[in-house]
Amino acid sequence: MEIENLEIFQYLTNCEPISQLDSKTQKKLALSIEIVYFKRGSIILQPGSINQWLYIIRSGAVERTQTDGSIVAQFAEKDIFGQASLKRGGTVERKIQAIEDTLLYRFPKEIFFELIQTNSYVKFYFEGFQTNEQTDNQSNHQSNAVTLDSHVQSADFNRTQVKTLIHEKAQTVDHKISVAECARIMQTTGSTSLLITQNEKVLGIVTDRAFCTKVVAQGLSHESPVGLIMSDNLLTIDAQNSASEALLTMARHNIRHLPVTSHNDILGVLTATDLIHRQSNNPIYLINEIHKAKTLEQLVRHSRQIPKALIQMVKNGHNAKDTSYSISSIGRAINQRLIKLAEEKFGPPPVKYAWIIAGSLARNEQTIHTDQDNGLILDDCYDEDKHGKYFRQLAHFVCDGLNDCGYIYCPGDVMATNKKWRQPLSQWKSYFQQWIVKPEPKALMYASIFFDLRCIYGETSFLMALNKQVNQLIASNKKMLNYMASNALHNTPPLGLFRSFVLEKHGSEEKALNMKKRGVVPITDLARVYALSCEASPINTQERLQTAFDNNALSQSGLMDLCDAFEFLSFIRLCHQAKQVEKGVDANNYLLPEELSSLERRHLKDTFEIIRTYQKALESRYQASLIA
Amino acid sequence: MNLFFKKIRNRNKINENLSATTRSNYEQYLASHPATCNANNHEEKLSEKELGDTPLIAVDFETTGLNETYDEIISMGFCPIVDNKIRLADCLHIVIKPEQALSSENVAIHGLTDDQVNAGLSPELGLSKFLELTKGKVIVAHYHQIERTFIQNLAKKILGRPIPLSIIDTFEVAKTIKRQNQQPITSNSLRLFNLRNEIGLPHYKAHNALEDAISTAELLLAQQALLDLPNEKIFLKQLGLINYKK
Repeated sequence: MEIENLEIFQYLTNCEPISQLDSKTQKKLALSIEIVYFKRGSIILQPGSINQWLYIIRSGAVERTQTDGSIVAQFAEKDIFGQASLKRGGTVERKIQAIEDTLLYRFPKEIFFELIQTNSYVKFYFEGFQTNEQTDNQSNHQSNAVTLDSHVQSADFNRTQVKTLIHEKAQTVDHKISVAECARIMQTTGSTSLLITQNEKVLGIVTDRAFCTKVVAQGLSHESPVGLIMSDNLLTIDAQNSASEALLTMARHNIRHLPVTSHNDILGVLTATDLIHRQSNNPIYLINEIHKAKTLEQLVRHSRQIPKALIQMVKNGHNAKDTSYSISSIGRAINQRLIKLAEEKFGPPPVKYAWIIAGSLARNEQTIHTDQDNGLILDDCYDEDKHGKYFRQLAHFVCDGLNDCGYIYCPGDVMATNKKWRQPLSQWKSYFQQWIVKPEPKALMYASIFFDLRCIYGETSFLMALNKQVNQLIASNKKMLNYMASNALHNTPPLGLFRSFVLEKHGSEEKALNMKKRGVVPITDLARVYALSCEASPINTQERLQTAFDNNALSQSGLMDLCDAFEFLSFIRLCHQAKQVEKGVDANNYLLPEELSSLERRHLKDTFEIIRTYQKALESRYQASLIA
Repeated sequence: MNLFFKKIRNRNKINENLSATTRSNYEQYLASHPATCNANNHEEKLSEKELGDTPLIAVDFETTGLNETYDEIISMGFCPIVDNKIRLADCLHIVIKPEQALSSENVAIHGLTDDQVNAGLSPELGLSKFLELTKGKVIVAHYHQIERTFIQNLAKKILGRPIPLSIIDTFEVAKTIKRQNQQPITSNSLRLFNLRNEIGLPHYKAHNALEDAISTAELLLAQQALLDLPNEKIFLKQLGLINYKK
């Protein structure tokens, strides 16, 4: 009987990275294995001993613990362990213990080293995401660890037909019309080119550039017929052609306008700007449109583009930080536009104010539509009787508008419509005074929201004054940091992955991993404590970590580890949401195990282990467990 | 006197048409058999041995049917257990060409076709291989009656006599564990597949001799964890070692 008929062989060849090897190597590998069994509770790798094997779990589960006894990771079927000690020369540093009766397959270390040396995939698999050894991991994540690859960008350009890109309708004028008249037509229609006709037949094209190079530069009379300045060797492109084709044609002939034809009809004019918008600046284009919106209806319509923008950015291979930044910028633009519309409707504000936002939007970490968190800091000369009505109306207009645009009302009522969060600066100061000097559970909940504030409209100085006071308060009330640290340990990453004990029920009976609560939030919370401890002002998580490093509150490896972990988790979450949107379902944070490749699972596990390690470090630093 | 020696000689006399290899394998098998070699009282000594110190080999057969008078072995799976570990490279599967043609319903069970068995070893070479691979070892089988009956039938046919066997039966170990845990014992619950399932071992394809031999070996490893024994050592007698003299 041949080895490949054995079920053991089938199992091994379904495990990453063995699945990626050629069948000869797979056979050799299978023949080298030993099958061992460990009773629940028995120690598989004891710190200080020498490990000679690479292990794959066939059934059961094991746990890895730190030297201080805290659990950092759990492993189950198809998981591999032992490689870290092998790479150290065999010395076991952390204990591995069976937490269920466990059947293991193990390979001799020689096989492991041979594979790492001869197979680049295996090498990447074991070295792609490593603690404390940060080279160009981020690019690795993107090119290998995710399903939406960066080829999509060029592929997308190849697939996109030009007819879907045209924004400019073709404006036609007779060749006898004066240059001055043409300029007026272009001004009123907003187009940057005109097609010149004679007896309804298109002769050529005039672009805005011709007015510069031919009319002004050559001193031509404004009354000259436009036929004099047109380009008559008219280049066109068929509507079915790809965007790449259009780009090539423009580059080759050094032109920026290309009429698009379909069966001898001209559908419109494709401009270089159309191509640029398509390529990468969709969010910028959208933000422009948002700032031009004149009604709530228009804003609502633009907000519906956000999911598409998200999908495109993910597909184009942007990293999570850039994507969330763009999505947050769109959110801010909608919010700002709504405030302007409100001011247009209710008149200028009677006193100065700052519109502040909180949460992921403030941190520039927004993904798909979430709920809104906002408030109003009013000038201290605010008088409730005189000015109350204006700001109540303004708040309701903006918050209702946000809700219509998909930023649903905050379930915790942290909104400017709530009178509590629509207060003069002095009142805000006393709120923070209370939270910081007398931290209570409720206060801590607010604190975690209101320590991430950004002013997006009005008097920025109000928020700056508030922040200054907050920093002073924290400096003299260090106890607050202990409470914050303890709070930051609330959401722990799952130790094992995708076994029943780490997945949470959501909605239906499906079990899923909450990528927000169990993934992104723990790092956000850590970063907040680090930043507050060094009185730093940034509120973006990665910027906070950087500041913590600059102030010696975080090591170089800590900075790299946590930033990489945050980027990776955010990226997985974004891809998950982009796929949901594409499928036409509501995007959420619940990731199903089968959505991930084995490699992604592995990186996810490493990431969770990193978070856990830094949570433990924070815990001992602030002795948070004593309070909790 | 003469008659007595002659009788002894006759009893030890084996089939004279045996090949030299088979004869040599048989002699070595007898010489190194754990329960017969060397001094007296080996059986007692063997059962006092520790499991970890005993070379074991899990064995499973596929046969043309279950009738012991005319059905034959068509494949054997061997899975040695050394120091509580199974090395896949040491496992072996052999196919034996039976004297009768295969019936279709049996092909459906063991999956071996006429072509495959026709390329197999002769029954004598099959036995010879069995003797070579199991010599000096305690056999591990699940519900060993089938393996014992068929190997003894083959031995009688080829050698003219049965062979000594020392066996640990995981079926019997399972019964002990169930009794110890006061669980009900039903014949269905003692099937290899169900026992493995209960313990949390993976599903393997049944009815392939090698797969079943590995399954049985893994089951024994797992059963050690379930036996509620006072100290860490497990002695063969606690596993219900059975000795068959020749």
